[in-house]
Amino acid sequence: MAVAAFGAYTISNRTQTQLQASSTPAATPTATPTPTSTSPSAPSTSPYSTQQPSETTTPTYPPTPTSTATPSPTATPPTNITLVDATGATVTVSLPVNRVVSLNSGFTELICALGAADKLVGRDELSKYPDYVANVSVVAQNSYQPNIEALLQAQPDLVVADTMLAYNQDALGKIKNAGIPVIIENPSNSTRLDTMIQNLGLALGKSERANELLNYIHYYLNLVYNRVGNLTSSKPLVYIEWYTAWRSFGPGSAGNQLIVEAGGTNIAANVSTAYPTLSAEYVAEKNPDVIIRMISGNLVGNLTGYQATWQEIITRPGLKDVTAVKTGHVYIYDPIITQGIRYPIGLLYFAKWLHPETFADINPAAIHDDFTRKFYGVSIQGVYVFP
Amino acid sequence: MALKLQINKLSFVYGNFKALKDVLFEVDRCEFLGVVGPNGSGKSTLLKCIGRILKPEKNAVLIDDCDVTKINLKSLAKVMGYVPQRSESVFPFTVFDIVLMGRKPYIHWTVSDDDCRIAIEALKYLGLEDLATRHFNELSGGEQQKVIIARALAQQPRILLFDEPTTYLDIRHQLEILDLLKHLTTTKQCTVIVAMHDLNLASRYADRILMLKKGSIYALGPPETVLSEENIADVYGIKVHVTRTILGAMQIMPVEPVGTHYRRSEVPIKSPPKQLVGP
Amino acid sequence: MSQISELKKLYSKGKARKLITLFSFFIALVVAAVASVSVGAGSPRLAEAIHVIMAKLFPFLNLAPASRLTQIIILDLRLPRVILAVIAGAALAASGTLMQAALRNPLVSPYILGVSSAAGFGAALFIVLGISTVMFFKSYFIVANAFIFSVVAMLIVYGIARIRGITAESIILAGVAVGYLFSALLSLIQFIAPASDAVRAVVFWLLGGLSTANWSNLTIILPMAFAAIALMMLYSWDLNVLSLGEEAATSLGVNPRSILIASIVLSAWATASIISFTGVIGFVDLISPHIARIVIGSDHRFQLPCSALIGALLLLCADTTARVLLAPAEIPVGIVTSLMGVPFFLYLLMSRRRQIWR
Repeated sequence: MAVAAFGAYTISNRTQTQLQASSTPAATPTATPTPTSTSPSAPSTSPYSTQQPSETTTPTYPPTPTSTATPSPTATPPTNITLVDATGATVTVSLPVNRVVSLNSGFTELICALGAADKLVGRDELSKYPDYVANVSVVAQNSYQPNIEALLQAQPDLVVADTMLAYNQDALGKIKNAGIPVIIENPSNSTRLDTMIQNLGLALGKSERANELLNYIHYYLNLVYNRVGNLTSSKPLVYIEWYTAWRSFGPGSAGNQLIVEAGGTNIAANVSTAYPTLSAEYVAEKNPDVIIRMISGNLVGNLTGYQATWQEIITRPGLKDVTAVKTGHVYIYDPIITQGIRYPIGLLYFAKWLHPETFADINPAAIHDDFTRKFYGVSIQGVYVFP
Repeated sequence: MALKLQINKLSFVYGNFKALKDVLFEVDRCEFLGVVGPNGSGKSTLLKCIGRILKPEKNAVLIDDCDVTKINLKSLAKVMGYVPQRSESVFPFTVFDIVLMGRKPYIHWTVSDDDCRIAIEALKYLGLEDLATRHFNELSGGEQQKVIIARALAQQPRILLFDEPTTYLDIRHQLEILDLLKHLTTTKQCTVIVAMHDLNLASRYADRILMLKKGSIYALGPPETVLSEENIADVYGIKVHVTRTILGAMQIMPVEPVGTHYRRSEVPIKSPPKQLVGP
Repeated sequence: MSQISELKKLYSKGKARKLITLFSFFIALVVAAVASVSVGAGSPRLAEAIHVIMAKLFPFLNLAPASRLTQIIILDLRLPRVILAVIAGAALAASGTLMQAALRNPLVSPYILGVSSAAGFGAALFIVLGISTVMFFKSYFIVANAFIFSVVAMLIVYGIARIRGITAESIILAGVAVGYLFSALLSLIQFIAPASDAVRAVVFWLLGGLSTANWSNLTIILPMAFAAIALMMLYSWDLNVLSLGEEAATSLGVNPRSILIASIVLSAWATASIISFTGVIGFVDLISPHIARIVIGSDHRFQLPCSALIGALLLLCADTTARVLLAPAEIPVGIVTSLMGVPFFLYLLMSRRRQIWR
């Protein structure tokens, strides 16, 4: 019993780092495999940056959240807003928010992207990106295990956490009893991305920046959706692997969702569980056209790690003879580019891998770099995909 | 005044095996009753049924006309003590602790001065004062047996049951213990029932002997009557010679010489394999 | 005559010594509790702790109120946690003592009844599948599930023993089997889980920890655990006698079967009321009875309370270390209890010549 629990702990520890891994600025001097500026087919900067949206454009996106705020920036600023978070709870946040604690690396990125990095007074241990958040004190190991004392010591006006906190009702209760509002969202859930960005933008007083971010994200999402929607050829078969051999993503999982949106068919789409371990024979029989594999948490940012993972797959008995390996369509990726606000980057990569001709003019690495410079103020460093 | 012990057609089965069949006898005065019989004849079972270690049928065992199965275990422990063949203690206790546990039927929570005094007296009676602070598991077999007897005495019982108490003791300790048991019947007004293997010792100490054969009573009476050559031949299947020593004590000796009893057993003798019988 | 009075004196001296030992452990526990309330990831230390507690207990002193943050940290976070550590350690240790005595086996722990696996299964049932055994007390769904399934495990063990004969052997075997059954069911739930978040939550819950301490939980845990421990103490003499063997116990007026049943009920009750809230904290229940036996002997009138005090002390020190050493990270408390308890136990084992058990 204890052994089983320990075994499960080790596995989930890795998945934790999978799902929450942020790239540490890599020390590898080797350039990312995809050149960022010499490809003639890709514009030197992303198509989006040629547009200059006016600062006063009102957003045309999904309904504004219920709030007592007036949209015009010239009226007296509101004193509080009310919003509904991912758990369905109604949260009232007193404005202005000057001190915020983030218990999830996806939120830390979002806060930085909204230009509110100076308001961050506490973070969880895994929030290490962008690198300037390293100075912020750590108050939690993850959303499930906040150190309440340290958290309260930071005296935040707002706490944002992922849904793991909802499983720890005691911790949640203690934070709320201290009078601190808590917004719980799931940064990995792409369907609530818009609401999440807007809510946080409102709470932090960065609504305009939030809209910029949303426009950017939607531009690329729509780009993919449109092109995929216009495809007439059949969808390629995809085998997606999680953190260990044969562990895949089934129906209802985020991995499956990605494949569908990128215009592919997941060979595990009709399996009975969401995180199945597939049998090798099944995969061999299905003969996927593309194999996509998530990098292990401990190898993140490490080019040799990516190469080793790639090598293992193409030489693995059972996979050696599938179409994907024979035609060289095996890709390794860092899950951070499929989570939170960087979701479009991941989707672009997936789409390009599944439909190279349709997306021949798209350079996801260049777009990624543009994104990080525009919203985090840093260039991308390290490895996110291979090859 | 002795307690009247009545055994009324007591039968007991272990699963399918009938260990006791309709045993019927009575003890109504302070005497040393020796229970003898071959292995498997039901001696231990009989003692355990009387001592309520095993549950006899209703109305099979009566103490002063009260059915033993109806008497509360604690009250029973105040009148009856049971000493098994061997004892052990899983956790370390001192000799004094163990003897003190004999007072359990009388103790609610705290140990009273009386309880202490009685336990110490039991120790003295057995000559164990020097060993009082030693750990039970560190003692020799004989000393351990004495400690258990002291514990039984601390219960202040009227009936004492001993299941082969001298089997693991040397001759000196055997005689010591048996003398003590005899002493109990004369000075402490106890009835002492002892299951024994050694027929000579049984003949010396018992006032009456109960001989069991295959779960039923074969004979009951004074040793001279019960331990006769015919009875022993019938029950044990051995030829013996019963004599009297010069001092009047009974003596039971096997008649046939050494080596003859082996052939009489039912195990066929196999001839040794040819290879072992070499030149 | 003089020898009798000598022995009597020895006996009362021994008793007095044991009482002094108990008292010393109690004092040590109080000191540890005060120290524990004074440390943590937040800033309040001993002075603030005393200030806040005095102000709360003796409002007529009209002390200047401390900041709200300090009050929350001391009164709502640290104090309940210290109290929980004490009562959890005491209850688990007492259960362990009871089980070892009743089953006459120094290697068993209360988890031998399969209670821990069942509690984990109950918790997972709600965390992953949202299935709850109660309709009311919404915030206590996990706790209620864990507790009820612990009781179910205990009842199954009892049922099996009734059929096979109520002996130490049948109870141990039944408990091991039930433990494996629930363990497998727990793994099954994790396997078919539709959300990976939920699976992680189950793993965290299983690791066990005292961070869920709050006053409303304590109003449930404290009376239940205290009642269980008090009832256990009433069986002290019976347990003493039981260690001499089932036959000897019967001859001394103690019914071994009823003691066994009472023991598994009380032990499961005490254990379940703790681990339903804290998850599975191990080792304290196994080691405390042994340390107590080395220090104070096997007489359960003293060994039970001593074991409870040692368990409380061990868990309190371990939890304090766990939450302070790498602050703000918290080391799982089970790791620290083992790392702290084992060397101490080995030291005791090797420094005394006496046997611990046969």
